[in-house]
Amino acid sequence: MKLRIFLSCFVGVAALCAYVMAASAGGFDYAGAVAERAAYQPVSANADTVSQGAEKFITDLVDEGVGFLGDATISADKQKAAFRKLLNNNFDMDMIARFSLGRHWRSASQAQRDEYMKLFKVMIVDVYSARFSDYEGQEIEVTGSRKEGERDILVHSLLSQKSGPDVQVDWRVRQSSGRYKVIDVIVEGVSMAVTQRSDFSSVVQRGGGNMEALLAHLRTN
Amino acid sequence: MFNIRAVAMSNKMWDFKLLTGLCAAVLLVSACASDSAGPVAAGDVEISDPFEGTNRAVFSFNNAVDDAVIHPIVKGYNAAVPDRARTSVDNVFKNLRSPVNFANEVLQGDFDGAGNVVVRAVVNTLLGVGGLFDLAGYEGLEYQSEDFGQTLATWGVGHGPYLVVPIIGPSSTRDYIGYAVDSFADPLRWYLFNIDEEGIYYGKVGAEYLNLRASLVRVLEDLENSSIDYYAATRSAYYQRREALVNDRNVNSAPSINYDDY
Repeated sequence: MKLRIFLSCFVGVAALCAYVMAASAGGFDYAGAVAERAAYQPVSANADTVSQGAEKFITDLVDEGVGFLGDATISADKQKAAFRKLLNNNFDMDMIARFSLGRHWRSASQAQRDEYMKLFKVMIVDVYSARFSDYEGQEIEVTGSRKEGERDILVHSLLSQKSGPDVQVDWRVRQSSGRYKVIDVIVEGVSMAVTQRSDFSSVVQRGGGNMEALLAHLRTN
Repeated sequence: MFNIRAVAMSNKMWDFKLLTGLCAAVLLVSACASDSAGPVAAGDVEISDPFEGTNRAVFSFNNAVDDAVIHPIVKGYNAAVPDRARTSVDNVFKNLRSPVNFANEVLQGDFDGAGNVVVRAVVNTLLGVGGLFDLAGYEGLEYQSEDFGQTLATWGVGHGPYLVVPIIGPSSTRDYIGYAVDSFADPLRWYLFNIDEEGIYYGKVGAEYLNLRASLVRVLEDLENSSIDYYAATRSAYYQRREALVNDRNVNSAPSINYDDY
């Protein structure tokens, strides 16, 4: 019985706290709070032409991908070929490959670098086309963007699932020689490039610091 | 009547001792976290994994359990139960977590967040039929999961060594202590233990765990298929995800990774 009383008190105090906080913050205005959050979402949707361009780039990229991934009449091989083209055209593969190797890039020989680059590009297409093969028509909506560092733009998007909450997908976009390229995809705070780098780095480390260990794994893929 | 109160009393004493012990452990961990050997870089977050051998063994064990027991169950659940019903189950567990989320928001000094928790709990419990429907989320007041591990992080406590806990999975010393504190401090647990309904509490914990695993099964399979060293990839993803949760997924504090060093 005592605990019931305690719980009622807890809820009561909690509600009171919330009321006081809301009141002190300028009146209890539920609709206002919602509107404020809504306004807060498109961080810099119209900030400048660069971010606008980046947002459009991602919107187009997503549309193109959804176009053939959602098309059940295209064979798996053709989907993979289309996907490879999409990745090579819109992702800075050299940059992603170098980043994923981390500090081991510098100590690698030229021959190792060349082989790694080749294997990495094959692996990425395999991994990502497998990842998107069970695509079920989820919608991705670009919600805004912001500048990231000196040269990059982080384009925010929300992927709505059939069940469960929306997934936040951020695309790190870099403009080089007049073209936008994706250099990282961050899902709910988890960067694909960073995860890849930790993975590779561990493989090299456990192989006695030798890059051959990583190459051997990539060759068997 | 007297007996129940005595039991309640001894429970509370036990909790108190445990909490004190845990607090001492947190201080100890944060004190010696800095000189643990061999940090690994994941993004710009340093990972300390001095128990890597043991962790890898537990990780393999967990994967075996997942393959044999957990994944068949949650895949069956995902296949058999309609999307909307699963979302409602998830909503109910999130709603039941309100007191824990509220307490942690307050401890983190995030009073806007605490207010959101209360509004969400009231709206979803009363209008959303006991939490089945996330009406507040639909209106833009989105759910944020807060735990004592995140609270410790906002207080400046580092992760300490990485831990893979049997069945529970990836954690860190800080986050695992946080998990224990949340579990013990949960008013729902106090209440159920005091009316001698421990069974309901443990049932809820089990169901909540399966609900979580059901939402993670595809993510984990993806990660396993796309990585060479699944252990290292999971460890990195865990730290990044926790970092994002500590920052409340604030888009203005996304990971600051230096992409130009390589």
